[in-house]
Amino acid sequence: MDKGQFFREVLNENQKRIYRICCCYFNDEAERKDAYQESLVRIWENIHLFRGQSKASTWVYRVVVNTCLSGLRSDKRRKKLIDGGKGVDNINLPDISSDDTDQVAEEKLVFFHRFLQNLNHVDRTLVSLYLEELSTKEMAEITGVSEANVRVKIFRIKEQIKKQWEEHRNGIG
Amino acid sequence: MELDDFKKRAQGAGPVSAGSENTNTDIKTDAFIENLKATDLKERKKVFLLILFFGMFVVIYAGSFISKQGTGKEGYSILILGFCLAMGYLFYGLLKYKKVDYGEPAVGFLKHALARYRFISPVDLIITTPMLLLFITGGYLIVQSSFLKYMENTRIPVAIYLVIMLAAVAIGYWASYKNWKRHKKPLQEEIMKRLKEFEGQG
Repeated sequence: MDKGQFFREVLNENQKRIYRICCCYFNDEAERKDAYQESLVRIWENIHLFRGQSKASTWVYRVVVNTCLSGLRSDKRRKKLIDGGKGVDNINLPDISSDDTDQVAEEKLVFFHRFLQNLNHVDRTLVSLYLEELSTKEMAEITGVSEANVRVKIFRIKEQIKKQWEEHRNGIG
Repeated sequence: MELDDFKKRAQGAGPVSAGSENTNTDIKTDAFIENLKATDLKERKKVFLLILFFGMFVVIYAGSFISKQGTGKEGYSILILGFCLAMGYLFYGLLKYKKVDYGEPAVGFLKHALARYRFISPVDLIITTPMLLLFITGGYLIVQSSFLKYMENTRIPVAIYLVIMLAAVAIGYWASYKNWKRHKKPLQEEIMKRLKEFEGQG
């Protein structure tokens, strides 16, 4: 398959998920956009390394996770090369804002983002993938952590968020 | 509150390219792909220019080696060899960062990143040690043959040359270490921290 065609298909199928995963790593809107653009560039640059041994989506998430983990150490100069630095304006950024105006829902969201930022990188990675409804097997394939370990970590995170939310609601946290 | 509550929120957002926005999205994606292709082309041109630049160096040195008569000839041939090795080393450096596989599982990716950000890797040592020896030896032979025309005892100029060269190597090493410590070491430490988290030690 042509590189451009493969990229287009990958983008059409995973664009929103890519952006949502980036959102789990960065608080700042500009950083999220940078991470999103950087992920797309990395996908493009690594297409020739995709051997089809895993699902294309699993491979894409690996690239996105690794890009976010590497903390955007990319060469600014290269970024400028892409569309004279306006690369991100040239692609559609998915809108992940919610229509939910309910106050509690909003409070939950703020709490959740704060909770996420306090997690270590592996837990944050697992949460970002869990929210995309990926299976434990896929999460293990993406992170390199064993399936059993993924299950344990997700269980702990679930317990942690529940406990912290209760503390927050009771005014302890 | 459950973690799963946020699954619904995450899934709530509709598809990006839907309905009337479809054509617009395609156009934007096409434009983005065109930009990426243009960047690829620029990168390829850069590599080509680099090959040309070093090729010219080798040709110039080879030319002076052929035209040179008498004693300095060996020195030039050794320098050419050194330049060829330097060229290979530069390409190895370029490829090392070009070949970073972002499609690896995160743990493997972090391990490889850790290796990449080491100050001097075994491969660096294997290439740079003979390269420096070739440059120093080649230069030594050239200096010696050049001074032989004017004096019988070339010990002093050769000793000065060796001192300058060794000082240059030491300064180069120190400067690269300082540079690594300032720019790469913090990254290496950050990668190490993340790797420990993934391996359950963090």
